[in-house]
Amino acid sequence: MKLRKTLFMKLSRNQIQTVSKFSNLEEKNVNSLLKKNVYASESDWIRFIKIGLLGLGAAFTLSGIVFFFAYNWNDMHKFFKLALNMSIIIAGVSAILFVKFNLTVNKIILTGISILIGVFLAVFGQIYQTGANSFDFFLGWAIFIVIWVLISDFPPLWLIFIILLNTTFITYTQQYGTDWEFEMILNVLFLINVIILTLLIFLHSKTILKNLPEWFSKTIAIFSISAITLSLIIGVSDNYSHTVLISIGLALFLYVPGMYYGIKKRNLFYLAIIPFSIILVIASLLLRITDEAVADMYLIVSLFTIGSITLLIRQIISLRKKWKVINNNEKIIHTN
Amino acid sequence: MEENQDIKNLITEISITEGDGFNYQEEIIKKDLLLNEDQPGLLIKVISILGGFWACITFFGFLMLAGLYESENGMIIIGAIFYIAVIIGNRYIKNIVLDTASVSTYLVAIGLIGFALIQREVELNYVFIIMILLAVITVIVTESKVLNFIAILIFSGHIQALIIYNEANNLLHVYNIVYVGFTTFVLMNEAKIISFSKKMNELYSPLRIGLLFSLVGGFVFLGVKGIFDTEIAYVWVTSGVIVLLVLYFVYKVIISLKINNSKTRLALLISSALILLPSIFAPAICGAVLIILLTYHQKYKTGLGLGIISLIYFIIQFYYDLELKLIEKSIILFLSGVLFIVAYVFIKRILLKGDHSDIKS
Repeated sequence: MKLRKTLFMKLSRNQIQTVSKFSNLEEKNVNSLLKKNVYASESDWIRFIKIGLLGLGAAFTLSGIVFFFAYNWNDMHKFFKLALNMSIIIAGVSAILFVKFNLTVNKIILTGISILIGVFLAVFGQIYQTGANSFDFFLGWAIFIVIWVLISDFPPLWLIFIILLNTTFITYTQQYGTDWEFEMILNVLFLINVIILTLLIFLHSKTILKNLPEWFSKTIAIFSISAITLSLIIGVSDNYSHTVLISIGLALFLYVPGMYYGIKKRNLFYLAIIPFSIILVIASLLLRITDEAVADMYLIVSLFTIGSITLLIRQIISLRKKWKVINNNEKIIHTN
Repeated sequence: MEENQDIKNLITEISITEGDGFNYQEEIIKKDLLLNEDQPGLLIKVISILGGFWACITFFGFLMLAGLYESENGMIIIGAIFYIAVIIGNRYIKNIVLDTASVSTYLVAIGLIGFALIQREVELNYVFIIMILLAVITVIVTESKVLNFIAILIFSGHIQALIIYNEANNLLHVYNIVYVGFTTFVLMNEAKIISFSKKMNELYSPLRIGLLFSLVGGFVFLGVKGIFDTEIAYVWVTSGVIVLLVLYFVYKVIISLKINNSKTRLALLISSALILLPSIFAPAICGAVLIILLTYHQKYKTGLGLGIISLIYFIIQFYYDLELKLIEKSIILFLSGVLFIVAYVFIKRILLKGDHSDIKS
């Protein structure tokens, strides 16, 4: 039997396992297949040793330094603490401006110093005992870093900033004791995040904003939908109040365009989580309809859940197949 | 379809390298591989898990409210029925949601049986033994990877429970030594196990991840100081065994990578031993290092992630429990860090200029 070229297609572990299961490959053959295709090679091991030693070295040295500061914290003069913090920030800014690091490193440094600004404010608050006024702290932090966030073009930093905005709002409601119910707070959170998300998507579609990674928009979408879903579930389960009507209104107002967006952009994600949220709300509604915990209703809910989710998943899978074909056809048209 | 062509190519490639006598069941291989390629996305998996879980909870809520709570015998019977239904029925279920619901059902069935037995004030040791038996039966009967994984965890967990309940804490070391040995064997002999039989082939994945989790679980009990007191001497024994296994592993890798220079071999073995020496008091740390080495060798990402996370956790735990002043800890940490960095620079120098006769390009 003539020997052809050796394998140029790398097998996956899964494939090797399947072939082994349904054939009479012997142990040593499987072993050599695995070694050639899957297992770590010598260069892999060298990289392992290098990264391992460097990583451990950096981590231990850094923790040693941190521990040292922790030990001496109480004895340090207050100016020293603030000066230390500020000098790291200044060092970061100088590094970005004057050292020719590549773009990603600069963005990471920018994120680091944005966080350090928060640390600075915290230390300040601790030294001067400004009281447990967290709203001012978060608001100040957000305001101070907003310019950096806008110019950064770095989604992880945007995410941190959005979390900061949400926290600022939450502390506002706690500090300035509005009589908003919990659901209303959730509704506003939903609204804020959806507005941000829609704005970003819009800017992205007009190519004003060049970089909008999937994970980022999905994370915000999940958070927003969780907020409104929770709000609806609570609203439906408690005594009916005006708030739940507002929640339902908000949800309808935004779910419909959401679904439409999903269909238009062939993005399965929104088409999956919005119906999922609706299923959860209906399930809670069913449980609420009977005043006490009635056994039969649990059975109905159980069957309803299985049925509706199966339906949802089937739809998603078939849409996926259909769109895969359409996407492939489009690719062919574009390349011709 | 392009996928079919890929698979055909794959099989042709393997046949050519294997030569004549390579017997295979083409159709089944094609079907199985196609099935795996078509995996639903993460999104669908998450939704079906949450949905299945919710459906299962509400179903058992229904049973409880319908009066099951009153009757322990009823709970045992229902639990047993669902247990049997799940482990046998799992082969025939095609619905994605029911598939994930079967996992929740399995857990609730086991929970019901356990709960009912405890309510009837059966001696706890017997309850543990029954759980262990149920886990073993599950592994023997069912093909489902998830159920096997859970069964292995139940098995290991209840063995540890037996040891702790009977206050034979030193046996925890025996547990760890046995598990470490067995895990090393499993991770170093993948080919042997998956070519042994169809059942073993299917069992390998859940066995691997189940053992790793059980091992880490065992270490947690040893690693967290003060949970369970054991003799110090036995701690050394466990660490010693782990270090020996690490050296054995390094030796095997050296052979398989065909590193022939005996000086290099010796250097690698000695440096491995030296790196582990400081953690001789903490078998958990040595164990985590072993896990990282074994899983990296296999390029098994999930296991590697688990190993790294447990290493970080155990190191943090160790330093936290260390009864020294903060300043002393900071000095130790800093010096260790410097040592590692020095080692890194040193190795980089050796690799850059050193003797390349044994390094394949």
